[in-house]
Amino acid sequence: MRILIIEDEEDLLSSLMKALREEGYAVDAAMDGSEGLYKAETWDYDLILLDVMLPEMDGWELLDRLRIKKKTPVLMLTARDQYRDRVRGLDSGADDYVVKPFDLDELLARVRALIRRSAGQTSNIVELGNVVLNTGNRQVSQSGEAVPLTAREYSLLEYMALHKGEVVTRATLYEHLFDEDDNTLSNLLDVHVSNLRKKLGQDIITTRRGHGYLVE
Amino acid sequence: MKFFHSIRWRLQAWHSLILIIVLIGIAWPAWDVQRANLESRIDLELEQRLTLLARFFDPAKGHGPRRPPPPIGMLADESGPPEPPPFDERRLPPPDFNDFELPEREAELFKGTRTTDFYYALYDRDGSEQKKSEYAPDDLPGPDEEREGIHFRTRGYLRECLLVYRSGHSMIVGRDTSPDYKELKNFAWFLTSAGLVVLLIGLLGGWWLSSRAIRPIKDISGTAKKISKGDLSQRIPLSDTDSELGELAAMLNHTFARLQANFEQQAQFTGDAAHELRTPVAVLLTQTQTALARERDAGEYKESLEACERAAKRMRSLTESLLALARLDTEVEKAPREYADLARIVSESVEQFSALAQEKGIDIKQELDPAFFSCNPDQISQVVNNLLSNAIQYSDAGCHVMVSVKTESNQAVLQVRDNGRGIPETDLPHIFKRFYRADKSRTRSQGRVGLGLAITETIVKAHGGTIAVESTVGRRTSFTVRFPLPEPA
Repeated sequence: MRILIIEDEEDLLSSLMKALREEGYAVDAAMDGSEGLYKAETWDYDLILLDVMLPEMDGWELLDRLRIKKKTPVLMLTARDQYRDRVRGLDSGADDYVVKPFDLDELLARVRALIRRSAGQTSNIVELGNVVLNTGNRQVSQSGEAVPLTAREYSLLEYMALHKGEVVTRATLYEHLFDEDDNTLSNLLDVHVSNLRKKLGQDIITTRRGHGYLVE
Repeated sequence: MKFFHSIRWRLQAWHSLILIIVLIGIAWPAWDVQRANLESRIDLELEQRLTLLARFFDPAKGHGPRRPPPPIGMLADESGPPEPPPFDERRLPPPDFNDFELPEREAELFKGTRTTDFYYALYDRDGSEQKKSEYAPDDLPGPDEEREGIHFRTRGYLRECLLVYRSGHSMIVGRDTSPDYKELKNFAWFLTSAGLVVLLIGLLGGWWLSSRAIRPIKDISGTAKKISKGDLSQRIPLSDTDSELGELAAMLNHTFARLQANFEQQAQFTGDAAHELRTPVAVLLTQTQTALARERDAGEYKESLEACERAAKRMRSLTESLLALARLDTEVEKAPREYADLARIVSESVEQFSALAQEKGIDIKQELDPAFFSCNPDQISQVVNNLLSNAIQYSDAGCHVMVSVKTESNQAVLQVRDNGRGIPETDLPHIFKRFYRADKSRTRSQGRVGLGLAITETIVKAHGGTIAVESTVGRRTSFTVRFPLPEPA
């Protein structure tokens, strides 16, 4: 999953990025409205964390302009807690609204929920044959036994699982699993796919030549 | 007992008391005068009858005197107040009543059974009854006086006039005065009822008047009650602003308006403060929670702690500014003032900033004329420091800052000009507002909070002055502060 954080407070931004990356998300960042809008429109993010008080273009305006082109789930972050602001936020097209200062755990849970919801899933548990994926605690088990996966492997499997039954192109996978700061060799999708097959069996991921991958 | 605390009831009570006293004060004398008049009239009539009787008594033959009867009318004496009997009975020989006979006309005066009619009785020197008019009471007691002269006596409702001769003979004329007294009584009742009616009207009128007077007080206390429950926007309805209560209400309204403004300002302030504090707190929270999420190496902890330190410093400068602002709001007027020279304050300030300016490659020039005025030097110093600091902050190397103090008409004028980055037109109207920062992202990271100009403006206004700004982006900025100078002596 790839997340965009648009926040002008540098210290806050850096720790959010760190926290989310450690959760296994690919994270991009923008420190003002126009940069944020550009990135949000250009790439397909699974979630956008948007601060309301931004220099030059505020969060409301960004949201209005974004919604013309994209349906990306948006979680608004703000110091404004008046219910009027919450209502405005939600009515403007935000999917959730979190007031600063917030507990990290709560933010992460809401992020998971939004991503799950936008994929059409209602529960944390996804079953792929005899493989069970728990997106809440990022655990994977096969036939009841826990299977350890690397962060990358898990992210790939999670994305595929949340799009269960759909063919996902390699390009899409690239876009959703790696952020702009990724420049390690672990970009190689094929490596991750084959590792997953090694750990969970060949049937876990099906290859459609010329199209992409599929899990079911 | 609550009864007696009510102004309206007390007004009524006093009002009725006064009215009662006045009414009694009028009615009582009126009745008394009537009574006195009645009694003297009765006595006069009795005396006149007695006189009449005595006329027909000739002492030589035992009857009345031969002197021509004085010209007395039948009942009233036209010449005024009653006089003593027209004859001096001391010169007369003792009377003998045996041959006493009244002529018919005079006898008429003593006829009749009506109680308003007169009766007479004649007594011998030993007090025995000699003659009596037809309708004199049966139980008429004899004379109870032996002294010579005319005496009056009252027996119940019978008033009698007694004439005692030197010889010891005596004569009584009397009358039943009960009808007269009955009329007097009626008069008394009439006065009482009229008085009661007047009292009632007075009380009702008084009640109505005092209700009208009290109503504004009820309005005031009603509004005050609503305000004390928390609705500060209430005002006393004013219809009559010239009366004493109208003035009171107007003044109270003014006070309530100030209270409300104060509360709103405070609420705004605490709202702003909380808002501004939220972000550094969010930084602290997220940094620490992330750092604690798993085992980290020393380097990562260090980075986290440094970020926390930055946030804490921001909170510190924020709280300092907020406290200064809060203190300023409540005390700005109370700070002690002295007569000081604006030029001297400015030059001291410039000296403080010279090192920093030099570091940044900025040149500060001053043109200072003395300008003495009444001020709090510390606060004015704050103003100058703030303006200088802003000028330096928003200028780049090679720029100039020009500070000048001069007197114009009766004002001290301070100007701080720079040819630095300037302020965008859209921000100009807002820069004096609390927490407003024109260049939000950049300045926040440097720990600036947006309160400097707000504090400056508050101080300037408290000194009765004005502050104005002009700016062109990328070219120049100029702040002009004017303080009123005292009139030349």
